[in-house]
Amino acid sequence: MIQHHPSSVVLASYAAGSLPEPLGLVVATHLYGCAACQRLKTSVEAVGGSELEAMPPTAMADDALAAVFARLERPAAPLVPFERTPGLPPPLDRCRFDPWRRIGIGLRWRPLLGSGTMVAGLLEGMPGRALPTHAHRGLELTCVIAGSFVDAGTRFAPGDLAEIDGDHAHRPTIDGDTPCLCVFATESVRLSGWLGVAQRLLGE
Amino acid sequence: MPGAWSFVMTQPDPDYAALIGAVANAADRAAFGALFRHFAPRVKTFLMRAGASAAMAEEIAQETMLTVWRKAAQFDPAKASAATWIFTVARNLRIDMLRRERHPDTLLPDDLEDRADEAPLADRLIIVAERDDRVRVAMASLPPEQAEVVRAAFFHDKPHAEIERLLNIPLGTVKSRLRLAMTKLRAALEDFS
Ligand SMILES: [Zn+2]
Repeated sequence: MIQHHPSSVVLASYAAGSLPEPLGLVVATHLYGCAACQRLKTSVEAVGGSELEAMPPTAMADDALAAVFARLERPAAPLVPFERTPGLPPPLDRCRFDPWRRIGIGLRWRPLLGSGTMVAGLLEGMPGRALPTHAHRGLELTCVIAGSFVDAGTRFAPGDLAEIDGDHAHRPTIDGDTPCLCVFATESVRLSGWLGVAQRLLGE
Repeated sequence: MPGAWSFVMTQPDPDYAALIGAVANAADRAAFGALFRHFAPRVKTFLMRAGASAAMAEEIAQETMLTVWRKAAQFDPAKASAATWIFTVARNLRIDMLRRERHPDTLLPDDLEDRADEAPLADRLIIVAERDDRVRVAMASLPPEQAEVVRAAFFHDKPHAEIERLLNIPLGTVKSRLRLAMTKLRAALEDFS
């Protein structure tokens, strides 16, 4: 049973198309298992539809329709099949990741390829592993895939999404007796979130 | 009789969902032309308000209509209205375009959620129309300041900070207004499965 959902701001931004993509991937992972957020996303999309309908028209180029008809004659570019990454739920199974990197005892991460200026990827920790306390700035989203962790007295289990925004010092600890696998994305590159830990440990 | 005239002169909206169906089933170019004339100029405005240049908005609007033609068979009028579906097509293309522009090396999938919906219902067509109606009613009944923050979410890349700056209200207020608005949208759809 999912207990922790993205905030209204994050979910509305995601559905509106204005949430940066790596953060969107974490939200999409949560949505895959959360019917309640899926419904709310659908209603924001319906708002998008009625906003679109209400837009005053801006003239298209004179030959726009002809240009589109001309392109219809040509076959669509073939879809490049993607390799599924085994062991991950959709939509993560169709993302590409770098190989696992160890970042200390019982802790490793796999960077998401193409996350641009954001830092995003998979993080896996062994039971009992505590992450060093760190101060955090900017928006950071984490969705649990397997296992669980506890942060400031709150437990996050599979499907749960942890959202941290603004200045916040936290110390997530993996509880239970199985490894905890998460997908995370964070806005600020330095000194932020789990990646800050990774950066320091990697000396990057 | 004036009443009859007003009836004659009120043009009903074309059934855009049926036009998409005609594109899907019969590659109907006239139907596509009608869709293009209605939606492409609106998609263009929408994208320009979301920060795209006129040239980029034109390109994505054309691309959106091309996708409407190619994916017409995937349009399910039981899941979304024509306008809502076209909004999601344009939204996804804009995200692709931004990604290609900023990070050409990216390997993220184009569409994070192209899985099939596994919950078919006998009367889904009525449900989608009713859901859209309810969303519209809920939006219309929001206090203006709440509706404003919901709309703002569509037009800004950096939702939090931008809305704060543009509407000149503190971030905490943006969040609490949006939370209230979303609670009402959620309540409006409470009994929808
Ligand atoms: Zn949820």
